[in-house]
Amino acid sequence: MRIRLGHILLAYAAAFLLQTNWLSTFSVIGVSANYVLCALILLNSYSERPAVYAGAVLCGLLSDLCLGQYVGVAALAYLAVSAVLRVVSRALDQHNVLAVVYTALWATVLYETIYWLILILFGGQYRWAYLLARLPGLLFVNGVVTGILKGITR
Amino acid sequence: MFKWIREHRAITCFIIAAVLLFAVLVASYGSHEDSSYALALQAVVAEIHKPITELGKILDRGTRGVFGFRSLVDENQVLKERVAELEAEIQDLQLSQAELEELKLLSEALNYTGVQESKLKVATSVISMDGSSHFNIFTVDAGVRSGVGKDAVVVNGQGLIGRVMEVGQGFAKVVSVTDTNNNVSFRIYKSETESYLGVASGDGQGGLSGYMLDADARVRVGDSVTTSGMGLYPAGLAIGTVTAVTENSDALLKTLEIETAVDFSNLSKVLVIVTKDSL
Repeated sequence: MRIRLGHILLAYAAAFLLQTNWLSTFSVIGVSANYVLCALILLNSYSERPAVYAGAVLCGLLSDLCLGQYVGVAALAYLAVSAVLRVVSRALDQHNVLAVVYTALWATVLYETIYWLILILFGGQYRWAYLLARLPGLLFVNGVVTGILKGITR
Repeated sequence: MFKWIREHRAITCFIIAAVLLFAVLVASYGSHEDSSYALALQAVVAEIHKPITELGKILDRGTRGVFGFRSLVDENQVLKERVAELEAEIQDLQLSQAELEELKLLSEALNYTGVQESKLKVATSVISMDGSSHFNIFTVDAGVRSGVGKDAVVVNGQGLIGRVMEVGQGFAKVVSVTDTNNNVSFRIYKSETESYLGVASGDGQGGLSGYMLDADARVRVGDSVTTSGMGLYPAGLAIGTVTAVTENSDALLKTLEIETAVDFSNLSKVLVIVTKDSL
């Protein structure tokens, strides 16, 4: 499947609106999927265009602006995931659904860890234990959503 | 140097983006108020969210309507708003007359604000929230145009939700009471003559933790915690229930863990109470 700029814009617009709107109420163990992260992993499996990474960072900035305490936390976390994705994803078969789900799992851990680290750096008190308690739910929903989307679009 | 940049364009772009984002983060950390550009951007996003939220509600109601409950769902929504208003009034009336008289004497010195002193109560809907985020920050469909100001108090039928953090013309950004920087003065009523004061804030795990001002306070697991009226929040709003009590004899401090009364994962209708402080 060939990805165009319009596809990327549409995917991120949908992901951002779903993540920050009524679909966020569908949760597992009190957490809902990070649709922007799922979109980043899915789009990266089809293309390594800079727009794929820039889109995720912009969604992170908007999300921080509208629903975050500080502007730039989610954007920096998406940027870090993008940087690692660009290097690591070449080692995996991006046409394989399981490989993409595996990517979603480690990307979720990386994203949440960087997010938590930045918050700690800026004086936040979000505990590692709380992150660990949320992580199984996040891994499950992000893995399932990415897997389903990859299965539909490949 | 330039040769290296030309050969490593991707790495250079990532480094520049990281530096710029870090600068934005540091700037936002230092600033307590969003710029007018940021507020304008938030207003645009809020306007985009509103029809999608409405669409979600219509789909939700329509699905239920298939099974013949549509009228009941509409009625239920109206009743929920009314219940939220009445709950706030009931919580306020729970304070006895004697306690109110006592609090009135202290009001000036302690910056006391009662719910009944509020100028305005605005029933509104949550239009966006991020269920995947660490924060319990969300946007509501009421802003300056509806009379809502910064630090207005947000509640629902279950109890205290939080306060307005930023406000635009048609939207307001609300930070929940479970935020680690959000201190709440609370009171635990044991009887008409016995009550204890304390201070709580977010524990970083989605709940609240706090301490009693009186280390000898007779507080037990299961006790109800309500706002004291000192500071920002009006008196008598349900905060939650005590889930653990720890005594630190060295520091002469009694600390508590509190489970919030409000289910933050399922917020739809809320009531914004505009107090004197938020005007």
